[in-house]
Amino acid sequence: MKKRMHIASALAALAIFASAAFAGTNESRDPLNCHRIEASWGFYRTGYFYPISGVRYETPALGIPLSLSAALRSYGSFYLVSIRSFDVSASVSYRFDIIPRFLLVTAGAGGTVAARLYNDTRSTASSGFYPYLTGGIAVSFGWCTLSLPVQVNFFGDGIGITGAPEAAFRLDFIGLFIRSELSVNHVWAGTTGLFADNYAGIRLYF
Amino acid sequence: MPCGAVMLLFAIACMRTPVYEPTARTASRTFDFETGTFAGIYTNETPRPSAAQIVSSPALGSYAAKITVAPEDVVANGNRSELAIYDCAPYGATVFFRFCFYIPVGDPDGFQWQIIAQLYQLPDFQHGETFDYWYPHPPVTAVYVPGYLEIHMNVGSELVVARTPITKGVWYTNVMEIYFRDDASGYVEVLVNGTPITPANGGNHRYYRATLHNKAGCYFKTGLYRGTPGASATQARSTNTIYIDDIRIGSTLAEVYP
Repeated sequence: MKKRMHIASALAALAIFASAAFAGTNESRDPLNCHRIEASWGFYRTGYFYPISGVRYETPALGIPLSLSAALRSYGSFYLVSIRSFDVSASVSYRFDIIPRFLLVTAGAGGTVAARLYNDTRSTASSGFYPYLTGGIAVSFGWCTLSLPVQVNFFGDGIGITGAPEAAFRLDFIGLFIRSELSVNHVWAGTTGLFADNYAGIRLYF
Repeated sequence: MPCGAVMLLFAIACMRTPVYEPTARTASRTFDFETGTFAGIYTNETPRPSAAQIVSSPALGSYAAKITVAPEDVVANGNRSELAIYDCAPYGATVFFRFCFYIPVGDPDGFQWQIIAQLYQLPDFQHGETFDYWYPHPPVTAVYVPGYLEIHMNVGSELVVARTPITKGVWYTNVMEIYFRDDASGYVEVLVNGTPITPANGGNHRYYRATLHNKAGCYFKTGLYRGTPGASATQARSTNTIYIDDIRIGSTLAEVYP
């Protein structure tokens, strides 16, 4: 019963999200250069299921070849929002339209505030902020877009690199995507850790 | 990118790298209840004060802990009454857990299984996880089924790696040596009254399998846990009791046994 309620609530959240974001027209959209808003749900790691959900918005080129993005990622929640453990990210990227509507390369910078507000004696997490540099390449075939963003994260005691290969499939203003986030984090003291997240979600183009 | 700009990025970062450093040892400690209290032990996973009491008999010394659970007792979505010890099972460490238990004569068998000790997996806090929607099975459990003690390893799938008969009304000394790893180099070796019950592998009695779901480590619990209430026919129907005494945790066998 509890599981069904979770699924029903997730579907309701998705419907609200879709209806709020839908501003579709019939014109042919460039999936590499339009407003994009997405909701994603993650299967945290490969060893066990753990719910992560998130929303993200990215602008098209803003007159000059720059685009902005903002994202909220919530942990331990199917419903896109958590007040106990979440990340808020924002970035700006310079766009190199190598072949317009087909091949795009980006380079930019941003930052993430990781809020770890879960109050438990057993928790070792602490909130913080880390900046990052980002770059990526994307190829669009109209109905399908393949992309490989790479992010270099700067931590107080180390560095991390995240690659997030993604395949997105679009039908007019709406589409689905799958994404893996593969991270290598290194503490200057010597320890290196590998990490993988897997996500699936829905994206609106307008 | 100028070097100065990169230095600036590091300078404004105030978050630690989300990596768990492996730890070789855990602090040696003993909980024998001889002060007449649960000092150093968390009792927040017991349903009521009467479910975790200090008693003088049966006891190995002057006092022991009496743990009781009834079918209607629910703590953290589970039919449980457990004592907890934190910060004792970090990733990368080999830890010896000793606990002595006594199942009283006449204790009813109205259950299919009861976990009497477990290493409970911590969420990966550094990567945002919390105990919300936290369902992974505990990596290592000591399970009492009527007449037997079983050792289960549960990362990947549940596997019974040892089983030995248990007589009610007798104290048993259980020592679990666990190497905490999230890969196949992890292992468990269990002694009951000094005799290995995990299968021999040629050189020793270590059973190799992952003992963590992630690198956040575990914490130790002992008492009684019988699953999710009302979930199925496996629901326990009896009120049961176990006595626990002389809990020791250390990094070598000599720290906990004999």
